[in-house]
Amino acid sequence: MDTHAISAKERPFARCLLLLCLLSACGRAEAGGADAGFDDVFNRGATLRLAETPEVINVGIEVAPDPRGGFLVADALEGQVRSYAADGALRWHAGRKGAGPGEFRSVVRAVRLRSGQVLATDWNDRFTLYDSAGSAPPATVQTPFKHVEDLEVVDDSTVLVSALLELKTHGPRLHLWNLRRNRVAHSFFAPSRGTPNETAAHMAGWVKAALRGDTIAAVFSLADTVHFFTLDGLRLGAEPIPFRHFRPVAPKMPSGAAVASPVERARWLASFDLVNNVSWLPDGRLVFTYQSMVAEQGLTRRWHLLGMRRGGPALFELRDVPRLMAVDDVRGALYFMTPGSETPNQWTVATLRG
Amino acid sequence: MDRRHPARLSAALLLALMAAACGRAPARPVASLAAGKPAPAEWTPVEWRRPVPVYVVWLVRTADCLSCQFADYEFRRVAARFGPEVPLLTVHVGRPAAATVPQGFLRSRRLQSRVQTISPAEFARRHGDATLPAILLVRDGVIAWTSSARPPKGTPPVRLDTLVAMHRQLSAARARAPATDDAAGRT
Repeated sequence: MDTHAISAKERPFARCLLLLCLLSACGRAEAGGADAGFDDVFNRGATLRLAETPEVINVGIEVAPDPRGGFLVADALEGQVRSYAADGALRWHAGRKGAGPGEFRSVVRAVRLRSGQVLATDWNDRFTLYDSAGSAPPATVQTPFKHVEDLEVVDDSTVLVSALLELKTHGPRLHLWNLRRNRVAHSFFAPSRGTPNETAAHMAGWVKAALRGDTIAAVFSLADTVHFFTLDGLRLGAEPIPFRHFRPVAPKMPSGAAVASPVERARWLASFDLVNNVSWLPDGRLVFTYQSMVAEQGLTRRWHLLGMRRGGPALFELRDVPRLMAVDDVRGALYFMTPGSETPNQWTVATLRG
Repeated sequence: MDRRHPARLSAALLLALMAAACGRAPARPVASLAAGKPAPAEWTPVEWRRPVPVYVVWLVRTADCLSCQFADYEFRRVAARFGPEVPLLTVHVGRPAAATVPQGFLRSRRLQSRVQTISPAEFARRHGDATLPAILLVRDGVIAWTSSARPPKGTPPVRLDTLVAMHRQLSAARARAPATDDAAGRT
């Protein structure tokens, strides 16, 4: 029996926290004592606006570049999956909040499969499959996954899923899932085992991964380390992320009162940073987003970025940048929320200088 | 030992208390927030230049904006369907300094709402032990529906925008009805 099975009190908040991480937040590139300014690191390009209608409003969005062009958007707070063209035109949208067919409790991510279908995952158990145009009634698949946090397409039949199996916090977090057989082929990467702060691991521990060629890069939100695996899940190694400004969680557990009281919990959560995501650039450089919370503003996020080469020092570290919405690992374009915009559908396209 | 001094002090204290009591406005009766009761007058912001037949009130504590609650989805459905015709008023029960919390929450959830802050003590004085958080629908100045009332057993769940549509129809019907309806006390 896993003695670290998640308590009923804590785990729903973990999803809530991850969900809150998707929410829009303003960033100020010039603030925060960073080593360089945003414009020293990035070339700003075109701006982009994701179209909205009375039925479509972008609120808590997670974006995946669509290999067929454009973007796939999963909006956890709206229970909706959207397909956007590269110019921001809305191609189709589907889903709403609920537990019925085609509905989502909290849709986490949508990705394009090699078949052209779109796979969207709910926070727990259920995956939904749309045809390439989102026009046919969707099919649903009950999976063994709980608390799904990320999806990456490996090949025609395999998807890398970041999730828990049997709600074991300290169990493996990455799973190679055969979507045709609905079977987990291999599970690996258990970063929260031995974590210095159990409460933080329960409440704010998530894993994100990115694929490039034959390599998986994975991060655990509480740790300043990037781990590398083969596409079979074999460990290749790990490297420290050379943060200078990352505030790790203190080993001291918060008191029970602090966990139970939303106000005290927010203060505690605002006392450390969390690694939000990892992305590859076409030349093999890695970009990490990390975040701080502002308890006084309804857990608004402040976003920070670090770039590095494998085995190298930090190329840049920027505090208080606009939220990075997506990275096109083929073209090298980075899509940021437009500075000053309060809505997550206003983007600025940027490329890394040098 | 001179015992007159404490006696004089007690009398002075009593007089002072009486004077203070006389000078204070009479205590407001507790205004229930149950369905059928009039909506508090302060819930009609001055910027609403014309009467708003139906509006939504979100009674929320600071802590509610920092935990997992998803009323915002329903509010966005109302906003998408009715726009500014059905405004959302957020009554924040908390310290004035903490008003940035609901403001930040509303901004991140893409909701337009005026936020009124009232201290927990003042809220309790005015409204007793009204349930928090709660969503209320106000129709023609009267609380027409509240989320804190339990629906009859077996009642299917109804979306907030559906409820709003129903109450807008009722309000419109009342506006069209002859004045004698009002005299008969119908709402």
